[in-house]
Amino acid sequence: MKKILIVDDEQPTLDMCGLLLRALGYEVLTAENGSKGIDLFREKRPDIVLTDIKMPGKDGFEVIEKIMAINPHARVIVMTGHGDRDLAGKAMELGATDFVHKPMSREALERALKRAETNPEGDKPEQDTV
Amino acid sequence: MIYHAQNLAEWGYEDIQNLVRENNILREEIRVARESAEITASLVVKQFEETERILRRFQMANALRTAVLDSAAQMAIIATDRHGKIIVFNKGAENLLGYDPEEVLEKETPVLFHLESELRKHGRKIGVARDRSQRGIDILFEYARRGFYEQEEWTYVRKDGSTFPVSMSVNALHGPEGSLEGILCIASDITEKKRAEKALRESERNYRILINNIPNIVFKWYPDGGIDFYDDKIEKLTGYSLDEFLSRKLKWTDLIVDEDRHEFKEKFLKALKSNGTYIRQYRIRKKNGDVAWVEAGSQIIYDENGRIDFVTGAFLDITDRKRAEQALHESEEKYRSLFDSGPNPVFVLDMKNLTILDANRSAEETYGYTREELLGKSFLDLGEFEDIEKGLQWSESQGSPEACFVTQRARHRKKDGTPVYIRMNACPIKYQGDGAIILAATDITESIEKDAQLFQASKMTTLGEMSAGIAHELNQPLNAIKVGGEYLRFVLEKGGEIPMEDFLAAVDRINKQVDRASNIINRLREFGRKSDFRKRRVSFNRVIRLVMGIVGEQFKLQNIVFRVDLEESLPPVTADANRLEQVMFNLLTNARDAIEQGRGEDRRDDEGFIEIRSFVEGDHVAVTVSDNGSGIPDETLGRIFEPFFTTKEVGKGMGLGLSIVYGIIQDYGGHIHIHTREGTGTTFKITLPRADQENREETP
Repeated sequence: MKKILIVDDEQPTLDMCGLLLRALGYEVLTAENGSKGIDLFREKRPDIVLTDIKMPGKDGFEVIEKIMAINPHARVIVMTGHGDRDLAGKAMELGATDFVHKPMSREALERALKRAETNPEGDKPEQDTV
Repeated sequence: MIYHAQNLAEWGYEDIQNLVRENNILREEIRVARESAEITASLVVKQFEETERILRRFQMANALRTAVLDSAAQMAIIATDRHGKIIVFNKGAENLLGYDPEEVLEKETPVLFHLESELRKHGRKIGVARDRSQRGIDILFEYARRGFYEQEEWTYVRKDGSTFPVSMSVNALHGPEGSLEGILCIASDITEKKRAEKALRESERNYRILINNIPNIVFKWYPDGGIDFYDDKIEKLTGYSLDEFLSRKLKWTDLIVDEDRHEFKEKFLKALKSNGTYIRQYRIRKKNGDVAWVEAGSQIIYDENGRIDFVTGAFLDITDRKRAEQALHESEEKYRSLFDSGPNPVFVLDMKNLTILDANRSAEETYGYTREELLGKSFLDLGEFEDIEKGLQWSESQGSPEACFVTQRARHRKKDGTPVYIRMNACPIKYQGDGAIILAATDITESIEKDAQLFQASKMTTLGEMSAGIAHELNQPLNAIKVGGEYLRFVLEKGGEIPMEDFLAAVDRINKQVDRASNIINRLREFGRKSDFRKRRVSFNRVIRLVMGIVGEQFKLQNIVFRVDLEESLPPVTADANRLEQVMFNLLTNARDAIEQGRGEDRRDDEGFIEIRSFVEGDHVAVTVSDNGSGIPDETLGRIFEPFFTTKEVGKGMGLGLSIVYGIIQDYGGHIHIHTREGTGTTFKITLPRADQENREETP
C-alpha cells in the first residue's frame, strides 16, 4: 500500500482527502502545516506528497524545497486554486511532480497520482522538456 | 361920653337939642354896638365851627394818611425831617425792613437801609459823592433836591442784614417857602418781579435754544397764506431766506410740489372737521430745484369767533428718512426677490419651536408642499435636524456670526415620502421683532448619491483587490465539499460499503463547509452593500470582527496574525457601519502592507502581527490598530492623509485609503492619532464620541 502525505492548513480538506485517498487504497498521513509536513516526510518517507501552496508559516514552496532537499526524487503534487497557474508553474520549477486545481475532482487527482506513480525514477514530465 | 342930668333946669333948647342929638347918637351907637356884637358873636360861632371842621378834616386826613401809609403793606414809605431823621416809617417799611418804628423814628436816617457802596455809586451817577466824606443822607437829599423822582432799582438791607431789591423813588418835601424840609422815599419790593423776570428770561432763552436746536422748524401760518418762522433754519431747508417768508413775498404753498397738493389740502380739510391737529408728509421744491420731504405736525388755532386765527406747528426735514425708507424698501424688495427666486430652499423658523414662518418657492419645489402647507408646520416634520439642541441654545449668543452653523447632511422627506438630502446653513435673525432662524437648505441629494457611488466604487475596488484572496478562501470549503462528494460517489459506484462513521463524518463536513462558504458570501455582501449614509448606533467591535473575518484568512496566509483585545462592554458610536468597515479595512490592509514592506523579499516567513484593541477613553470610544511593520518615516508622516499620496509601488493602491479614513472619522466628529517608529511599527488610534453619552451634559 502506497503511503501518501497530505499537507494542508485546512482541516476539512485533510479530512476529506484522507477519506477519499484511503478509499482509493492509500495509507494516508496528514499534516496541517508546512513544518509538520516536512517532519513527517523525513520520518515516514511517504511515496507521494500532496501539498497546498498557500499556507501560513512554511508555505507549499518551502515544503517542496525542503522535501527535495531530503529526497530529490520525492513525488510532490501541489494543490492550487483555479487562478493560481503561476503558483503551479513555480512549484513545478521547484520540483513538484504535478498539480491539481482545487476543488479537486477524483479524476484529476487519480490522474496526477497515476502520473506520479508511473514515473518512479523521479523523471518528471516538465523536467524532460527543460 | 357920659351924660349927667343934675342940671336939667339949666338945660336950654340947645341943651335939649344937644341932648336929643346925643341920645340919637347914643342910640345909634347902641344899635351899632349891638349889631356889631351880634356880628362878632356870629363870627365867633362861625370861626369856631370852621375850626371845628378843619380840625375834623385834619383828623380825617391824618387817619387817612396813616391808613394809606399803613395799607401799603408791601411798600416802604419813609419820610425824614430836614436833617434826615426819619419821621415817617410805615407798616410796609416795617414789613420789608424788619425794624420797629420806635427803633428808627427820630433816631435813624434812611441810610441805615442802604448799602454804602450802592449809595456812592448812585451818588457818582448824579455827580455827587466825589469823596468818601460825603454823607449818605446828603446823596439822598441831593436826589430829592434835583428832582430825580423816577423809580430806580436799589438794594435795601434788612435788620437781619439780608438784602433785597427794591424799586425806589426819592421825593423832596418842600416847606411853604420852597425850602427842602425833608425827603420821602417810596420803595416797593421787586424780589418776586425780578425772579419772575429772570424766570421769563430763562424761559425765553430756553425756548430760543430749543427752537434753534431742534431740527423742527416752528411756524405760524395765517389764513392769508403768510407764514412766520422763528429762526433761519427754514433757509437751510428751502434755500429761501427767512425774509422772503416774513415779508410775505413767498407763500408756503408755493413750494409744495404739484403732485402732493391735493393730499395736502385734503388733510387740512379733514383736520378742520376733527380736532384740528394733523400731520402731513409732502414734498417741497427748494430754491435750487431739489425736492425735499417735509413732515409737518400742525394744530389749527381758532379765535373767539370760531374763525381760524392761525395754524401753528413744526416742519421736519425727513428727506433722509424718506431716502432711507426707500433704500430699505428697495433692499427688502431685493432680498425678498432673492428669497423668492433663490435656487435653494430658504426657511424662516421660529427660534423656540422651529415652526416654519416663511418659506420660498424653491422650498415648495424641493419638498413638494405648497407654501400654505409649509407655513405653521414644524420644520422637524420635514426630517431630522441635526444639532437641534445647539440650535435651540442659540438665544444666548444671538446675532453673532458664530451663532450660525452648518449641518453636514440631513435626511428629509418630500411630501410624497421620497428622501432628500439637505445641507443646512442656519443663522439666528430677528424676524418681525422675534427671535427666528433663517435656514438655507441645499439639496445635496445628487451629491450624496455621487458620494455614495464613489464610495461604492471605492469599495468595489477594494473587493476587486481582495478577489484573489476571496476566491482562495471560498475555494477551501468548495474543495472539501468536492472531495467529500467524490469520495461518497466513488465508494457508492464501486458498490462498496461506507462505514457509517465515515459517511456521517463526510456529510457533516460537507454541511459545515457549505455554511462556511455562505458565511464568507454573507460577509462580502455586508461589506459590499450600498451605504445609505445614515447614522445609527454602531458597535465598533462588530465592525472590527466583520472586517477581520473578511481579511483574516488571507492575512494568515501572509503569516500575519491578529492579536485582538476588544472591550466587550464597549459603548456604541453614531456612524454608518458600512463606512466604519471601510475605515477598518483600510487600516488593516495598510498594516498588512507595512508588515510586508518591513519584511522584504528574504524574510517572507517572519511573523507579522496586527494588534487590534478597543476601549473606552472618557467620552470616546477608542480603537487602535498596531502593526510590527516598517513604520512611517518622518518625511512622509505629514502627508499620509493627503489624497493620492502613496508610498506603495505603482499599481498598488491609489493613495486614497487614509484620506478616506480621515474624511470618515472627521465626519463623525472623531480623531485619528498616529504613533510610529520606523522599523518597529505603527499604531493608528481612532477615537469617536460614544453614543450613550449624548445626554450627559444634562447631568453634569
